[in-house]
Amino acid sequence: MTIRTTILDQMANIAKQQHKTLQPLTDDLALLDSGLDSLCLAILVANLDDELGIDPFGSGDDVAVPATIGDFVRLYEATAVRS
Amino acid sequence: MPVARDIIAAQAAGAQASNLVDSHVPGLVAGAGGPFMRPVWVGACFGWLHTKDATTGGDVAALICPGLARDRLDAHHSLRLLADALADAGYPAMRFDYPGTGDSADLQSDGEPWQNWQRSAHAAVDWLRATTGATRVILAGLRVGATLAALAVEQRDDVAALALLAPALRGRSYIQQLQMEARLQRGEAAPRSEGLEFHEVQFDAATINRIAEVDLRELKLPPGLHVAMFMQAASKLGNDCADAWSGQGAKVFSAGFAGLEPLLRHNEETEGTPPDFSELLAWIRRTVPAKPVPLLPLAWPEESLAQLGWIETPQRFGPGDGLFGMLCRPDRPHGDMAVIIGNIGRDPHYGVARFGVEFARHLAALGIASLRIDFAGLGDSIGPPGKADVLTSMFETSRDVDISAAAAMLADIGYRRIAMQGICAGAYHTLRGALAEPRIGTLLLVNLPVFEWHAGDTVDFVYRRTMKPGRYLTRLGNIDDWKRVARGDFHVGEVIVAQSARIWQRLREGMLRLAERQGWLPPQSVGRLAMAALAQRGVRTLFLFSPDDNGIDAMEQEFGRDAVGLRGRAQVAYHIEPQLDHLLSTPAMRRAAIQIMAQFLGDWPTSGTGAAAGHGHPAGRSTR
Repeated sequence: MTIRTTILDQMANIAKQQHKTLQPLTDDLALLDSGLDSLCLAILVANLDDELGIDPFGSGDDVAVPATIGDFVRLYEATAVRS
Repeated sequence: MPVARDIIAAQAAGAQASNLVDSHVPGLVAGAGGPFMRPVWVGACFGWLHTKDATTGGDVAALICPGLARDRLDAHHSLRLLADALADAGYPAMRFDYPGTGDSADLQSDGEPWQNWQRSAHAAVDWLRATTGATRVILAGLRVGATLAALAVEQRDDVAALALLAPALRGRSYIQQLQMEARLQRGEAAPRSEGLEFHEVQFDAATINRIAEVDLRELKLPPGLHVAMFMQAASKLGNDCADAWSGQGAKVFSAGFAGLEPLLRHNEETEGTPPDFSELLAWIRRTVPAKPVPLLPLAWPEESLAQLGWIETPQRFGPGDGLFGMLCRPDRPHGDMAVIIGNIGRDPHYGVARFGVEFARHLAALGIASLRIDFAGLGDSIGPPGKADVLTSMFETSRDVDISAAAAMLADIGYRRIAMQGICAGAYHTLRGALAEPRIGTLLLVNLPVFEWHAGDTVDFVYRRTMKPGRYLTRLGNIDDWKRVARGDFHVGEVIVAQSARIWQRLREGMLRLAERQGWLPPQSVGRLAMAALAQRGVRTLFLFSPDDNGIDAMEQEFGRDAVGLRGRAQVAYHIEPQLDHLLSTPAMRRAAIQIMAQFLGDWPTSGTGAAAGHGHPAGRSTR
């Protein structure tokens, strides 16, 4: 399973768990317009670390929260390559 | 069973101080016609013991370890139902608050939370066994509570079963979640070296590292231990844990989360359905059958907890003693003022980020008592008849009876000047409750969202109705919003309906205000009628808002820009505090709000209830 697929699957699972309506996920969709709120996004980051072993935000550098779905996926892909 | 009341030994009439002699005996209280739940203190930790009836314990008891922050608030009601269900099935069950959380005593300034919480879980188990006659225990935990329960098992030899509900299996990812939530809330990241402050969680860097090292795949479990994992989704990590524990001889049962979703759902609107614990209970009955034993005839622990500056005593009151409140009093002779602190939304009485507790203990330090309550069907209060176990709605359920009962209870024990405080929906109910309850003489309304709630209204609709058109107009230039419209994701129709209602209401209100000012009509709107009625009684009201709060729009609709319609009323203050947000989410915001409210209370004259202030904060917008 690719990183992208894992991220999109996790978003769908979290939306279902939190009773949120998930928008069709496209690369240019803003994260905060996806239907996931801040709690959902926080759970997403935690779950992705559990599943992928990737934590782009825990490096100690002030990594900005990506604006779009595409940016989010690319951040995780880039972090995976570096680690 | 009725609850005995405090006996007041009042000093000379008119004196500023009155002694309150605490001879309160809470007694056992029936739940919703079923198991008993009794408030208890274990050391400095507050908790509830649920038993099948007044005299029956069990040879197997259960300790329920809650989550933190939003996990805790959203699950409180559901975990009460779980404790009831366990007790009804013959397993005495205890819920409790870790040190520095819920109603428990604050952690000392040098107290390390993670180790203190683990110690408190052990103390709770020991107390539970000593009280119920249990020789074995079930540890059940939700989210990080499951983590704590699992860690406790490693150090005990009396745990028969471990039930993990959506467990945080790795401390590192749990910390990440909290840090991300904090970051998104604040809009900026804080380095891990600076610790973490989020809701009631205050971790320094050392605690963060300690928690981050926890990995339940490395848990050492006794062979034969029964473990159930109820997971929100299948995961490699969950499978690894199950494999590791099975490899040690534990008997692992893995299940999904179907029916348990209400535990972790932030439901603002509907009454919802209670969680379905049948699979969990069936597993428990199957793996650890229990038999009843008499509750041991130990003296119940102290009914109050006294710490530096305050004494807290759980109270049951109201119809059938179904309502719960925590009375917090100064630990020295004090005056006759008490503040009722209502629920924020549907969160339990201790409040988001433990605001209710922080406010109550701050008031006690100032010599003011308080009663933080759960409205019927919220927190630890039983629901109304026919809806005993239902999480009652945020706005539609009237709280007038609950508020009057709280005021009556405080008056019974000698408080003559009674104020009430509420945030958001709590402020809405505070205002409405005060109209019906003549004993309330001062209102502290934080971010009051609306003056009137119609049956069938939704939070979204009211939000859109009160939002200024300008906020929508500025989005017309945003290409992303147009994309949402094109996809059908942005409900333009609903916005138009809500804004149309707003426009019509504004026109109507403007004309009515003009007619009222000219003396052609008496007050017409709900808000103006309410304030006129309160003014007649001399009730003092503080409207405190965060900047850009939607409630400011509701105020403007009623009283004009900057609440001009309230100017000149000495009993009313209207204040917008720049550093606040809607739920007072940071410690600095809570301190600022508490300071403003305490100052308003401090200006309350001691002679007569609700007399015109004559001094203090005149009405009119004030900002700092």
